[in-house]
Order: sequence, then C-alpha cells, then structure tokens
Amino acid sequence: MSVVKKLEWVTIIGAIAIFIYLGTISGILTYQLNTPQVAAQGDSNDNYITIKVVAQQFFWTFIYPNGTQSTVLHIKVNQLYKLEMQSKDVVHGFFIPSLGYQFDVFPNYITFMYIRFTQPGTYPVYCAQYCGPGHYTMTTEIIVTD
Amino acid sequence: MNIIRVETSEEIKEEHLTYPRMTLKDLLYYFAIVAVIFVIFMWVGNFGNYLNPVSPISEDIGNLYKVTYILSGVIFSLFEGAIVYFVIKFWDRGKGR
Repeated sequence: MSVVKKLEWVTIIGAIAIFIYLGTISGILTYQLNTPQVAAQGDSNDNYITIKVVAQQFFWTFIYPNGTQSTVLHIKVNQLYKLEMQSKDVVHGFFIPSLGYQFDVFPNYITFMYIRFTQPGTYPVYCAQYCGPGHYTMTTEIIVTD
Repeated sequence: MNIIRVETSEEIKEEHLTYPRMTLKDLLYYFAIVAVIFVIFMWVGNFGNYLNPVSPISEDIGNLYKVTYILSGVIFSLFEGAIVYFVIKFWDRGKGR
C-alpha cells in the first residue's frame, strides 16, 4: 500500500473515530441532562425545590412553592431546583447562556429542567425562540445568593 | 535553432506514477506552519474555554465544547497549514519551471 493510500485511510478512520467519540459523549450528556442526580452530581442534597415558570409575551413569571411570584428568579447557591415551565401563548425558549443550554417552553405542555448553581451571582436569561415583536425584550435574571 | 523536445507516452506515464517526496526540511516547514495556525486558532477561541463552570452540567457542557474546539483546531490547522505551505512552496517567483 502506498504512502498516499495509507494517509487516506488514516484520514477516513480518524474522522470516523472523532465523530463516534463526540457523538457518544454528546449523547450521554444529553440523555443525562434531565436527571436530578446528574444536576446534583454527587451532592447528598438532591432533593429539589419545584418552581413554576410561566412564559408569556413578553416576560417571565416565577411562582415559588409558597405561592409568591416574581419576574426575576431568586434561588440559593448549591440547591437543586426543578423548573416546570409552561407558556400561556406561543412557543418561547428559556435560555441561560451561563449554563450553556436552553429548553423550549410550549403552551399546554410542561417542560422541566433542573438547575443548580455552584457560584453566587446574577445570570441573564433570554427567550431563545422568536415569539413576537417584543421578543428581544423578553429577558430576565437569575439571582443566586448564599 | 530551437529544438522542441516531445515527451513520449512512456515518460508521461512514468511522471504520473511517481510522487514527489517531502524532504525533512519540507516537513519541518509544514508542521511549523500548522503549529502557528493551531496556536492562533486556540488563542482566538480563548483556548476552548467557553463557559465558566457555575453549575455541574455547565461544566460538562464546557468540557465537551473544549474537546470539540481542540479537535476542530487540529483538523483546521492541518488542512489550512497544507494550503499555506503549498502557496509558499509553489509560489511563481518568475523563474519558470
């Protein structure tokens, strides 16, 4: 086999190996994304607090377990939360850039996601699905405190 | 009197069957160019550090991004390095063939 042919095979097999590797770890991560155990990652306190998130043109409302509501999400550091999200009108997207992922929010359907922040701070949230003329104003914040 | 040399079909066939081999100097130049492109690629992308690990999941996503970015950088620099190397090596400097 000539050197050129060998290089050709190295390129083909190398590309396949890279795609299999990336596909496998991406698949595992995506599969585990919505499990509280992974979100907690070994933390013994994997009991989550459920917060309802209501999306509507063009703002977010957060409803806490005690019934209080706010337009900015206040949570504690290192505590695991389950966000139950639903839309009142059209499809929205709950996007937290600091976490690197987002979930779509639909009318008549509850989407849930688990979040746990390990550092206090203020993290912006954007709507990631075009939801109307005021889409760009549909932002809020997650305030994580000790 | 100019003499025009006509290549025989055997000579043409032989020319197509042999590949010019890269010398050690050629390889060193090529990998130096690849290394420079790779370093620039990594520097532009903050060395693959996209997310601050503020959450366990974001840490995993950040690691996945970093691996993807580095592998993309390796492939990108190998191919772009080849293009840059060939442009420099086979530049028409007016000396003819």
